[in-house]
Amino acid sequence: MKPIAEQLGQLTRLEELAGQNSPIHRLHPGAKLAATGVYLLCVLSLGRLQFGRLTPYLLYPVVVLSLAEVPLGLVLRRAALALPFCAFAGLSNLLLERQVLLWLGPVPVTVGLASCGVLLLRALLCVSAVLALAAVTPFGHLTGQLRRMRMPSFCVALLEMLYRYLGLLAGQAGSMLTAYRLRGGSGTGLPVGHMGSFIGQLLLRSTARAQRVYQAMECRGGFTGGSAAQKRPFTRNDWLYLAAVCLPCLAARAVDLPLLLGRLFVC
Amino acid sequence: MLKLEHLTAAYPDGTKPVQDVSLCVEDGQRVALIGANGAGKTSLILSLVGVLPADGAVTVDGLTLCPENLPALRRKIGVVFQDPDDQLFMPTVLEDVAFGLENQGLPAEQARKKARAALEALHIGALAGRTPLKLSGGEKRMAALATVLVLEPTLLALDEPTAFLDPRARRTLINCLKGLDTAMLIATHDLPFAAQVCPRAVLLREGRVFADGPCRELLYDPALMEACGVEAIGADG
Repeated sequence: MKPIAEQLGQLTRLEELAGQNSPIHRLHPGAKLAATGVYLLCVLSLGRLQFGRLTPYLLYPVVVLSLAEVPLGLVLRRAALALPFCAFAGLSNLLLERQVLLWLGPVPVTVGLASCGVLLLRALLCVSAVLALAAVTPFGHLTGQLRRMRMPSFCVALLEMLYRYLGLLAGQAGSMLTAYRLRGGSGTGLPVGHMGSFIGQLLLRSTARAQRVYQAMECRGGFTGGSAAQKRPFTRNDWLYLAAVCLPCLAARAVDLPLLLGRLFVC
Repeated sequence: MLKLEHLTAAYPDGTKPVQDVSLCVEDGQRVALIGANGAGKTSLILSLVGVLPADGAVTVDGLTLCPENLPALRRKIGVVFQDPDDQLFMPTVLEDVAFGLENQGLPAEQARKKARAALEALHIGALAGRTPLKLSGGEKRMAALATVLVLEPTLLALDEPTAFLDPRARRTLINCLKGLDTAMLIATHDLPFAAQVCPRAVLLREGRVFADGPCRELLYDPALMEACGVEAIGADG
């Protein structure tokens, strides 16, 4: 039960953080979305062995979260949840690409190891950037902005429903597991024998719950979607933020900054 | 003001939780809907706003329930659901209270200002920035009430409003409801609560109106209440 409750707690914690009033929070959601988009494009477009070139991108989540007064540890912990899945994907690289790329002293670094490392770092950076965006922008503002950017309404509505359903599902699972344990269930987890009926019940209950939430929404006029979002033009600060994020990102994409810095110091 | 004529609601499986219900609620009148579990109280409330399909006529301030009038009718009837967790779905209480106003086309700033005022009116202004998931039962109930009151409905329909409340929160809710001049239809089996808030009671049994009259008469009549499947006030000694 603990991991589910913790996850739910972290989900609500991010929502609470998004409601803060730092200079980053006050920026236009469009500026933050565009900046994150450019950052993701730059990170994802780098080569599979360019580990060093990814390192300057570590600065973005650190700086944004610090300015927004959001605990870096909270975001990193959540981002780290994605790493096991990526590590699993990178496992085949380790096994199949064994040619030695370089030697770190007596330790050989294979192509597979380097590409796996790049994959993990890239995943950490991308998930951190998305979580940073979620932690500095209320979800309603984000979806409202996506609508104004002409993203199909169906996709945005799906995103909103998934986001809400996730919370409902986690809450329901937490209560059911507590009830299960209080009636003498295993302390170490849910036995396989009980898992089928548990998951079935969970889906049925959370669906019924989602239905009631939908009814409550309908009674208050349905979901027009993100109308709370800021419908204001970009200000000078928004443009400055966009430039401050995009220009260094594009520069780091065009030029090998770590190599340049290294040469400066060596020469 | 609210007029129900031969209202019969049915679930897709054919079950009819509400059968041939006719009643009127006048402006500012507070009416308790009393009945045992499964008597049709919640279904009646849901059928008022078209969430549960129903035959018969529902009229509020001359507006009849039909697909074309549904948005307008839902503005007139504010439904507070039994479980506040079903009602509070936005990231913060303030956004949740502003949700309905923004759906009505009010600019975000005005909606938030009005939402803040509604929270202050219920003495829960401090909850504005908090996430509904972490509120206490009483706070959630008051926040859910604020989400509906802010829309200034002409009729307030409350489903089991005292469920999950401790005595203090219950007292706060009673005082709050008694201070409002909005007409109310309150589904409950908390009879002392009904007696304190509502001058009139409608007893439901198996989806039909079983009795209709002053609370002070109906709720203290053991034989009548027993026939309705509910214990009369004072029946437990």
